Amino acid sequence: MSLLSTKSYRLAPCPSYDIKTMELWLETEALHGYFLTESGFLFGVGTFEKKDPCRVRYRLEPKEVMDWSAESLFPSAEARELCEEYGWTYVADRGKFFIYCSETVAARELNTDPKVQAMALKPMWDHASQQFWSSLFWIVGYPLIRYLAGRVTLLRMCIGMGTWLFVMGLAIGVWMLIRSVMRLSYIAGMRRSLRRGESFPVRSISWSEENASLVLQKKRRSYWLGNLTYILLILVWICCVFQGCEKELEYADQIPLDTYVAEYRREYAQKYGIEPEYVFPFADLVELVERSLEDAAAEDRTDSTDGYTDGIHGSLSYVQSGMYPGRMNYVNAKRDLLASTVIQMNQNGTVYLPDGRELEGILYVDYYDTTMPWVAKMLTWEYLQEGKNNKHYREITIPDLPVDEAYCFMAYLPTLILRKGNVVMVVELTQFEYDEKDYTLEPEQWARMFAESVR
Amino acid sequence: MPKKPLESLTESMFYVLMAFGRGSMCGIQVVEFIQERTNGRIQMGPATVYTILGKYEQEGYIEEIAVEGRKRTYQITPRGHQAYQEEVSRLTQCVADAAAEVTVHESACMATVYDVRQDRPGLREGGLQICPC
Repeated sequence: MSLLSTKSYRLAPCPSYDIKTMELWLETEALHGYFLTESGFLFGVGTFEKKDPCRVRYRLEPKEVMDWSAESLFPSAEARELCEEYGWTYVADRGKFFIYCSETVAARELNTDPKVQAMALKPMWDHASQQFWSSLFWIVGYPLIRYLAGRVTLLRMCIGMGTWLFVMGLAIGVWMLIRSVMRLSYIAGMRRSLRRGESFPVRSISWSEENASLVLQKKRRSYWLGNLTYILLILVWICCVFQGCEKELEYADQIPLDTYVAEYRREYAQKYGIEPEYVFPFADLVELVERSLEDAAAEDRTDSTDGYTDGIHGSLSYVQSGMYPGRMNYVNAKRDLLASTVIQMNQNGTVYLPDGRELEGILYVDYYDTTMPWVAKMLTWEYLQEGKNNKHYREITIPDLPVDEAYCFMAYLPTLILRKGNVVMVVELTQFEYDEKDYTLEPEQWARMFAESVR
Repeated sequence: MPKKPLESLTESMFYVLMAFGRGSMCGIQVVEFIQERTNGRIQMGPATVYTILGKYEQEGYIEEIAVEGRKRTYQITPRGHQAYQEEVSRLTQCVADAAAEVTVHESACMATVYDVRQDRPGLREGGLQICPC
């Protein structure tokens, strides 16, 4: 008895539904002395046993049951009995097929009526079309319905996760659909040929025993290259998404507001030799109060507003630990293919006015400087739809603002959506009013100030 | 929506239904019957047989009456019998139509030969060769 294992593992050259290629491959392997064992296939890798080479016929028979039940694991006793009676032995299964083999040259063919064989492929066709429609629904239909209903903000998600990652996910989805369509069209082609009384079509290859190995090798290479690229792409995408989620959960991209401001000022001074006039391309809480006081001064017809806002100072309570770690006073700034600048800023604190009053509030700004006008328009539409879907949505009418589009509404929080050229800004401002000492601004007031502050 | 019955039977499907006219049978007996009936003209493959049996059982043309080891025995149902009779009628009609067509065609051929011979008296009886059939 040989101590050496006679087992060998070999890669299938095609998907299981490419029946003719599968049969020819198994027969070629048998001619080289490799016979498929009962262990069958696992992820397209077949277990073979080395024996004396001989001519063996292999046939793939579609399973009658296409689900994951026990019935789908083995052919029915009746089918086995009939096949054995006529010289065919059940070997193993791959995908949705049972594999039979016969060493008897005189054994009659398993299938003698192509039209009946087409009938046997029906459950497989049903299963493949079901898979196709469900993929189409989940990859295209459902997101589209949700998007049109304003329940999904695709562009926001795209910029949020990174356009390249979004496109990669989209490519995987499209690839998935293409594979599904290919499988479906191949099965349809087989059924058509069989219904016409012809045998299985072989995909654009001319077979002969001499060139079989070469053709199979070529097919195997392209099949596995495609498969591995597909799997790798999915794995990389999943890893990137998980990494992004982890970062989000750990607030890894959020920079404390004071650190961001200090860093920005330092870098700006180093680059241009002067202090920056503004850190953000929009107003923050302090600037908002300054602007409101300037407006008030102008309305009071004060001779000069110079020095009117002197003495305003912000005491922004930088809460970085404790109850809401990382959730207050942070900046998240990044670049993307669709938006050259994306800033998310949260500012929570109190601004002290010279007359002793205080504005206490929380400001949340999403700022996008998009690369194309349609991106800005679509992003504005998405934010508006999202707001409208909020059950607390209440529109606030504001007079004409110096921007291209402006929407103001209540949805839990007072929200303002602005679009000026390629810039989109979404502002949420919550102001606290406990006593008469507190200073607050009307939505019309702060909406105008933000619209004017877009830089 | 009501289930659509099998539109037309293939030759092997027809012979399988015919086999059950003899009484209850298992798959192997069906194959043997067909071989014997057709003098070996139809050698039915095992996969073809169990696909047909499965389809017929699903359609209610046959029903399982006994299971003995790996062997399942079936018998024809009234629905199956009706389908068989309908197919026999259809085929009989086809054959009758074909026979009638042959008669009409032969008469037409003879008339053509006659006309040709009258038009061209020199043409021998071999004038039948002008018939396209």
